[in-house]
Amino acid sequence: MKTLFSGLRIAIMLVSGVVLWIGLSDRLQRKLYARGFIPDQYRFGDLYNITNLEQFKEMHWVETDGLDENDKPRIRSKNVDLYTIGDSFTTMDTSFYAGRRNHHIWLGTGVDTVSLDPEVHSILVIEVIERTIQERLREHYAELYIDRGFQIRGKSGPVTDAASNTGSSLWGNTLNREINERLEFLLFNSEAALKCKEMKARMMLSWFGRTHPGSLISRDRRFLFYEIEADPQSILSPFTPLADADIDSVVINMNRIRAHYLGAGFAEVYFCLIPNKVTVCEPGRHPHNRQITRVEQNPHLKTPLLTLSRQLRHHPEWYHKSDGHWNASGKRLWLKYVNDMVMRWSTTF
Amino acid sequence: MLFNSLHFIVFFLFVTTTYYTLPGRWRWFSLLTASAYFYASFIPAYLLLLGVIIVFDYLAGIGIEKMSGNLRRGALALSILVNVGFLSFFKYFDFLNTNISRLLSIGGIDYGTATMAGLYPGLALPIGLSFHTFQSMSYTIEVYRGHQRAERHLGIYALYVLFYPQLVAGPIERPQNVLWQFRQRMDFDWDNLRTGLWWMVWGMFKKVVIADRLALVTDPIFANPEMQNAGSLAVAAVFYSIQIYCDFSGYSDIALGAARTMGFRLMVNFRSPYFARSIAEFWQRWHISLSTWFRDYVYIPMGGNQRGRFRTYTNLLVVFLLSGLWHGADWKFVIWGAIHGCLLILSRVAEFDKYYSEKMPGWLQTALTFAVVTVAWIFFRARNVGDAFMIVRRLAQPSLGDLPNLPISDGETGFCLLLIVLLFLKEHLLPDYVPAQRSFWPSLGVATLLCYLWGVFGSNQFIYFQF
Repeated sequence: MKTLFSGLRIAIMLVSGVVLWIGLSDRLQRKLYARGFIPDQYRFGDLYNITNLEQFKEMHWVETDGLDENDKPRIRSKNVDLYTIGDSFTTMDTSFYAGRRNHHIWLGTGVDTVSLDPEVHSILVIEVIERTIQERLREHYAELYIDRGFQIRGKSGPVTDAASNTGSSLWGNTLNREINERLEFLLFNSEAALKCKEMKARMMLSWFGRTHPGSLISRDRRFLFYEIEADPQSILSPFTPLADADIDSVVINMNRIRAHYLGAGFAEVYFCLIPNKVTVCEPGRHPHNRQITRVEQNPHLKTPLLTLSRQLRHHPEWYHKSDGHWNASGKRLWLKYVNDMVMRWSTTF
Repeated sequence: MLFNSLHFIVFFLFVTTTYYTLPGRWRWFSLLTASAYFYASFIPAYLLLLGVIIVFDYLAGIGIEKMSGNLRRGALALSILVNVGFLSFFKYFDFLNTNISRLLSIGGIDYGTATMAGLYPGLALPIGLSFHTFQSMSYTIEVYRGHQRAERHLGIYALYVLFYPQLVAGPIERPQNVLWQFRQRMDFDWDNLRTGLWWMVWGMFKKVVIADRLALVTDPIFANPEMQNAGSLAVAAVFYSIQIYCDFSGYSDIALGAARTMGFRLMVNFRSPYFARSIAEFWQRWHISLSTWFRDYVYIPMGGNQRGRFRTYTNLLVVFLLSGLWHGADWKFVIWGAIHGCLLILSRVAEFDKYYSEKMPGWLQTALTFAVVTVAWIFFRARNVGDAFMIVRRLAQPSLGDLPNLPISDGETGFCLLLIVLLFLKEHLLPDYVPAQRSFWPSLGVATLLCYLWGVFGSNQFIYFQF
């Protein structure tokens, strides 16, 4: 009996030690994930990952999210180079864009130094999701879109590498709060663990009418949202009142960004403002601040827009049901607007 | 590393099993390393600061023991000065500066208000500073009084301050209670393991199921009290009384339990305080390690109740004002302490306790004490003094239409009330319950499952961490 307990104790020590070690090491966890030892945490959608509501589990994620060869442009422009700055909403794979050459920056993660070809039109498209408009296009607009945007060889100052400014350190990377997320990812990501999580989520919804903190469910229980996006107390929500001065500041900064890039040699700069999921799927949840419309209609606006929001608002089904992002239909809409604009430049000018 | 996190659960399993696997002479080292890791997981740099305090008090203890007369007194004074100095610098710098500036501005002198954040950007209050400086002071005072021999082993002394279960939120230990235990070889004992695990799970239940659920009501209401009616404010005040108890006593239970699994016995910090029939009794049951600390090291040295009534009342008021200030550098905490101090003095002057015990049934005395404590908690929880007075004013002028409008569903409100009833029943009927050996593991499994299923998980820190 004593030997059995000793064995059990040593087994617990070894297993917990290994789990702690893997939890501390982001790199080791990535390696295990890459080799298939740990399944993808977001395989059923990011909002499912928070809520664990079974009815929002998208079992065929790849089919609903992925673009394929048919989505690539059949004709490419010969005289337009396309530059895009976006985030998780915009397609990273530049082969889907119709420019002669296509460059893409994921905002904040890197800086791209480019040489503009004076023989062709260089067009920049900046995508901004509604919840980040006030955050990105107010005080920090220059840092985000100019210092960390496209740097023009011979014209821009020293390159600011976003990654070098994140203040990463051994302690910061290992002992920060993300260790709990890594441990949960490691230990409770299996199908059996998800079943337990689903049971808890179901109970919470039926007993208390709510989902896990961090998420919200629509009143008709058809859609899930991020809490920061849909809670009227959150400054990122479209239900937070905005003064005209807030809209004016955004518009002025959009004009400044445009002026900067035009000065650097770009032929035009477009902005594309994408509505939050809640704006499309449950706009009447609370009084709405109509931020995108107010920017579009602002008399000071000099920057052209790709106004896909008007079309998107009629298609809540173009957002994933288990995720805060749009699905392949939404991505196609984005590509259509961007590529149509590229082809217009190609044929008109 | 929060007790209510996966990080802690994995850490606890590893540390506890390692402790029993290592030979006796290495155990203190493994615990010290684990405790240093535990503290470093908050802000690593402050481990160095804590190291400086540890080495200083370690040397002070030896010095105090070796010296005599004025030198001995001087060494103690220096040790206390350094500890209080650290505490004051990090915790009270802004408070003192702001208030000095306000005072001088009355006389038309522009002093300016230098803040810690302005002078030293990025410098934050070290987690649990008030707890471990008080524990360090307890050591040098006890060595001075001759109740404790100075510890010669720096590692063991460091463990006395750093011991992870009680490092950041107590109980504030006394050297006589724990130092000797670190030198003992703690053999594995099933009773210790069972008791410890059960306390931990019960503490976790109080924290994640009760306290964090009640926070869903109290946080939004106290964040915007001006938007609330008297009904909502009353519910939030009562819920906060329960929340802070479950939060803090839950932490203490987990701390005591984690220590107990390794055979260590820490000081009990709570004894069902809301069953107290008077304020005096409440303070014998609430945060016992702090109230006895103030009793032993402030109240009694000031003369306690041995120098006449007026001096006794003054001593009481000073102790409670200091206790308020210990909780935070804000006038709201001072007022909270003053309320308790004044109530205690009032009950002594008017002999309320005697009167009530003769005239009132016990349950009514308990209810009255709970109501008074709840009103005092409003000052503790409110964003500032202005908010607190506004809430009290609004509660004093209720109208018929002031029905509670809570930020949770009716179902969850009902569940909160059920949990509160269950809590009081458990505390009243089974305060020291630990399942019997035969039913222990199934009971532990069910309790753990309930913690998971009913728990509210987010990044909910323990309230007392900020102190």
